Amino acid sequence: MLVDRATGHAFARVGERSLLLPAESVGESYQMAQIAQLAGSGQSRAETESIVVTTTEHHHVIRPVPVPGTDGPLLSVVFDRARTNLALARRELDQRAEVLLA
Amino acid sequence: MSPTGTGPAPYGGLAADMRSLHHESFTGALLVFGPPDTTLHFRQGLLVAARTPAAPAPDTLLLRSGAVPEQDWAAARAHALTTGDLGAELLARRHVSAALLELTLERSLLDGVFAMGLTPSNRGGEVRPGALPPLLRLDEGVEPGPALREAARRHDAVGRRWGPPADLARLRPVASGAPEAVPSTVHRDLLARADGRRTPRDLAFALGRDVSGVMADLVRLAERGLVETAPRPPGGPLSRRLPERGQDGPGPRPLTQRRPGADGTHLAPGTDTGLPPEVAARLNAAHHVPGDLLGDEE
Repeated sequence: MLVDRATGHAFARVGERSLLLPAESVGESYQMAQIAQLAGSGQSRAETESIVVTTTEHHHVIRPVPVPGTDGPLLSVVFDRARTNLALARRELDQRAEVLLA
Repeated sequence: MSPTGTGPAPYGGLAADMRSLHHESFTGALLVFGPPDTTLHFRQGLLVAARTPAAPAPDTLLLRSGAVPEQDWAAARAHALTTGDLGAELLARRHVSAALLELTLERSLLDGVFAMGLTPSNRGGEVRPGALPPLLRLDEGVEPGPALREAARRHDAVGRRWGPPADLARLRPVASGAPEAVPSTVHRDLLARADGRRTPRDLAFALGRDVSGVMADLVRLAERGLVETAPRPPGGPLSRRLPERGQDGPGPRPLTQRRPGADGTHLAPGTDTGLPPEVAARLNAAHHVPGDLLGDEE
C-alpha cells in the first residue's frame, strides 16, 4: 500500500486488503516513530528509516519512498511471519522502494 | 454520497451536481464560483483535474519541490502547447517517472477538491461542455464520490484535532520551537517558513506541497507546541491605521455645497474658511463668475 504521509490517503493498494493497516494510521505510526526516535537521539539528525511491527502472524513494515525533493509517500507492506525471513524481506523491500517512483 | 442528493460535508449540494455529471459521462468543465473559483475538469464523467488559486497545481508541486528542473519543464511545456498534453511530453523526455507523475496529479486533484471545501458551499456554478482540459491532467480520472469523501475525511481530521479547517486556512502560523526539536526534514522546512506572514496556502506554494498536507502537518506541529496557530491579536503591525489628528487643531471642515446647475463653487452659509475676513471676501468674490445667476441670489 502506498500512503500519503501527511494526509493518510492511500494512493494504491494491492494484495489482501484485510491484512493492511488503515492508511491513516500508517502515516500517524510513522510520525510517532519519528518523534520517539528524536526523543531518544538527542541532537542527532538521524532520520527514521523504517518501522516494523511484528504480530504473532505478520510483519508490518513501513518505510518512506524516496522522491526527489518532495514529501515522499510511505510504503506499507505486510509479510506472512511464518514464511518470511525479515532481514531478507526488508532488503528486497528497500531495493524496490528505491526505484518505485524514480 | 448520501442517496438524498447531498454529499459529504462541507460540499453539500455541489456533490449532487458532480454526481449528476458523472452519471451523464460528462466531458468538459464545471466552474464552481468562489471566491476563489474552482474549475473541475471531467472526462467521460471522471475527474481528471481541479484548478483553483487556493491550492497548488501539479506544475507547482513538481517544480517547487525540485522533482523536475525548470529548464527541462520550460522546453517540454513549449512543445506541449502544440500537442495539448504536457504529461506525455514530460514522460517522453524522461523528466519524470509515470508513477511520480500520476501520484502528483492525483495529489493535486484531491487537494483542489479539499481547498474548494474551505469556502462555503452552494455557491453556484457553470457547466462548460467540451471545455479544453489543462495541459496536465490524469489519464484515468477519479470518480467524484471518492474524491469528495477523501476531501471530507481530510476536513474532518483537521476539525477533530484542531478546529474548523476554514479557520486554520486563514491563519498565519508562527514557528515557536527550535528546528532541532522537529522530527523530520519535511517538518523542519515547514517550520522554517512559518514566519507569521504566510497562510497554509502560501506555505504550500512556497514548499511545493499540497495545502491539505501542509495543514495536517501544522496541526501536528501545533499539538507539540512547535508552531503557534493563534490568530493575530487586533492592533498588530498590520492593523488598519487611522489618520492622526492634532490635539488642538480644528475639526474637519465642512464640504462646500454645490447647487444644481451651478458652474461656480460657493461656500456654504456659515462656513468658517479659517481665512482673514478681507481675504475671504476676495475669495468669495472670485467665485462669482460672469453669468452666475446663483451668485446674484446671495
